[in-house]
Amino acid sequence: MPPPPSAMSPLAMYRNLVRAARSFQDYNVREYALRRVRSGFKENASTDAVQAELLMHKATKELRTMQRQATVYNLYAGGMKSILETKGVA
Amino acid sequence: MAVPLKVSRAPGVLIPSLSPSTSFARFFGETSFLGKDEVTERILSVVKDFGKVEEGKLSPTAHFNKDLGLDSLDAVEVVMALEEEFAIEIPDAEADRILSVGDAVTYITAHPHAV
Repeated sequence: MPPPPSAMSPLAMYRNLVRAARSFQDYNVREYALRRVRSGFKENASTDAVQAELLMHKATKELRTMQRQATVYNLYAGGMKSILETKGVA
Repeated sequence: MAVPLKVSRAPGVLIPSLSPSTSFARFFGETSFLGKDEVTERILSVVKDFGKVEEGKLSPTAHFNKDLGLDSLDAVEVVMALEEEFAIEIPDAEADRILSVGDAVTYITAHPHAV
C-alpha cells in the first residue's frame, strides 16, 4: 500500500501512479493509463501550492482506483498480447 | 557474501541424508553483489535506451538533470527502468536520492539482490 498523500512527494506519487499503470496486463488500458499519468503531470508542472495539494488528493484517489481496477482487470485478462506488443513477429 | 542463517528445527528432528558439512546458508538468503564495471555499463545502456538522452553526453558521472537534460519526471522513469533491469524494487525515499548515473551505480552495487 502506498503511504498517505500527506507523506508522499509529488515525485513519489508519480512513481506510484506509473507503477500502478504498468500493472495492467491489457495493452490498451496500460498504455492509456501511462499516457494519462504522464500528460497529467506535464500539464500541471507549474501550478501553485494550493492547486497542487488538491491535485495530490485527486491523484491519491486515482491511484487507489487504478490499483483496484488493475486487480479486477487482471482477473479477466486473457493473457493474449496485442499485436503492438509483439516485436519482430510478422 | 553469504550470510549464515540460523535454521531452527524442532528438537529431535534429524535430516539424515545431509552430511555435516552441508550448510543451509547455501540455500537461503544468499547474496551477491554485482561488479561496478558491469553495473555502470548496464545502467548506461538503460539510460541510452530511454531515448531522451543524447549519446554524446552520456558518461558514468552524468547528472540526470544537469548533464542529460532530463526533468524530474524523466528521472523517475529512468530509475524505474533500472529497477526493471536489475529486478529490484527501490523504495521511494531511496529512489528520490538517485539523481545521477553515479548515484545509481553506488546504490545498485550496494544492493544485495540486484541481478
